[in-house]
Amino acid sequence: MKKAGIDPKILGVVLVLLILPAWEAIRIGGSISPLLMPPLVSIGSALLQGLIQGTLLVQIGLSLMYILTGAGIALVLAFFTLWISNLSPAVHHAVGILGALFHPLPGIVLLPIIILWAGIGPSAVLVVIVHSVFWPVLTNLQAGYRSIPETWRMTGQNYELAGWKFLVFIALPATFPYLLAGLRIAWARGWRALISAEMLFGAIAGAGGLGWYIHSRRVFMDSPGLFAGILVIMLIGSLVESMMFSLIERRTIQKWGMSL
Amino acid sequence: MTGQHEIPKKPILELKNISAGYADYPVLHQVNLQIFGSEVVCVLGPSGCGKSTLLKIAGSFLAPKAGSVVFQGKMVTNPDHHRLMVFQNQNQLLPWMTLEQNIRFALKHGPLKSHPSSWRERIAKSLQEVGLQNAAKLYPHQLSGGMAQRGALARAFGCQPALLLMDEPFGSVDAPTRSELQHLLLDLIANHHTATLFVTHDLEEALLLGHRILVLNSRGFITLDSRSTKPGHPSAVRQAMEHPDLRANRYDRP
Ligand SMILES: Nc1ncnc2c1ncn2[C@@H]1O[C@H](COP(=O)(O)OP(=O)(O)O)[C@@H](O)[C@H]1O
Ligand SMILES: [Mg+2]
Repeated sequence: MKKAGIDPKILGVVLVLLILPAWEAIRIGGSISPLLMPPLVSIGSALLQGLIQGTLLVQIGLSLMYILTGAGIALVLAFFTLWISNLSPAVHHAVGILGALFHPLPGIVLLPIIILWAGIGPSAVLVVIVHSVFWPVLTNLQAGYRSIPETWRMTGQNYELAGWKFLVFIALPATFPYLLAGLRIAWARGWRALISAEMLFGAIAGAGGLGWYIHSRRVFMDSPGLFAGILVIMLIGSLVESMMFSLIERRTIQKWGMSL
Repeated sequence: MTGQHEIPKKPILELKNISAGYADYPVLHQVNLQIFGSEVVCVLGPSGCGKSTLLKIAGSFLAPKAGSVVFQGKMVTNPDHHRLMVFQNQNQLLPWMTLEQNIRFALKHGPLKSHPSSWRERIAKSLQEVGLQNAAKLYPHQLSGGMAQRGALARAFGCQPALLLMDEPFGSVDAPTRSELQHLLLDLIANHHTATLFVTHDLEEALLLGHRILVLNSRGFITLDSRSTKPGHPSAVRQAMEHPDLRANRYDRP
């Protein structure tokens, strides 16, 4: 264990410190046009300006709002579907079949249809996110619900927890590891789908968001802004993945000894 | 200590002509059983004969195919906190709550729903009784197997149920711990006078704990009911030891 003792945080810093000069070296050494590879300084100042002046900040907020709203809707729908499918085996199987069909479908593939049905703009972006979040969360919730140990079910029954009380006090915490696993997949899918959808809709309707921001930077040939946008998307993606989810896991299922 | 305790005339739990099973698979046949207040009834029988099924019927976790369950004079069909299960599984405490929170959870949804002011005292008392007062803030996964079973006993006795349903509760701990837990249970039952239906496949455990010993055979019939014997009573010991349905069990034990 001890011999591969490189702290991943230090490794990360070292990597960045290597990439940055390499970028500059290639750019200057190959006399590459700043349109293709802008200097780090101008990327940095574009990032700072975007944040300070608020143009970038607004789009970050918009993207996060999209994904939170979409995920919220998808979560409510998933819990509702779980509840419905517990009522009747037929519904349970039907949902299972639909899940098997729709779960593997990338959200972005649905866009042409969504445009036909929901038009272009915010509601279409939301539909894409809801689709990306709903299926992984639902399939994980169902797997988790099925695997609740009989002793916990009977304990719940013993203390007369039925209906919504059973769901809230036994089923929800008991399936929490599965819910988190589902949310991790949902985040990875939803975030990618969101940016793609924003880029697409940005082109047509100026729907806004980080995807639209990048798209518009390209249209204005603002390469530093373009790279600044990409940096932000990378940072948010990995911050949520490696910090938010890890933090929640440490505070909950790891503390409870319930890691899957 | 429990020997001279007087056993009331009216049964706490009555199983009347129960037949039960799963889907098309019959397990219990015409089982009749009465359990009186503060008596410990041990159920012995070979693996798979339906001991756990009998407990599920007694706790209304499973509906009988025929017959009825009468608890404290009333027909019952749903589980309640007056008939509490204790399992063999060392996972029975809910892992997302500390030991103390587990007991509070039971009191809050069970017998002390409308008396939040008395939770704290009751929790402290039941932890004290099983010797886990220093483990109150631990999560179940931090407890050893024996401690987890003590915790389950604390949660159950804390609710002061009328009837305990115990499914081989000490079946998965090592021998010294099992012996400790058995004596702890004897003390708890003596103090609380809780009627207990105790399933085991260990004859010695049944002889140590039981006022009465039932034998369930592999076809789901009760073939011995050593009614009105006292724990350790020679005739109960002899009856149980000589019972043909238990021979295999006894000599197969490692
Ligand atoms: N949920 C179930 N579905 C179908 N069969 C079951 C179920 N639970 C138990 N059985 C079967 O019923 C019989 C009695 O089981 P059980 O009461 O658990 O036996 P014991 O506790 O005496 O070992 C066994 O043959 C077992 O396989
Ligand atoms: Mg069993």
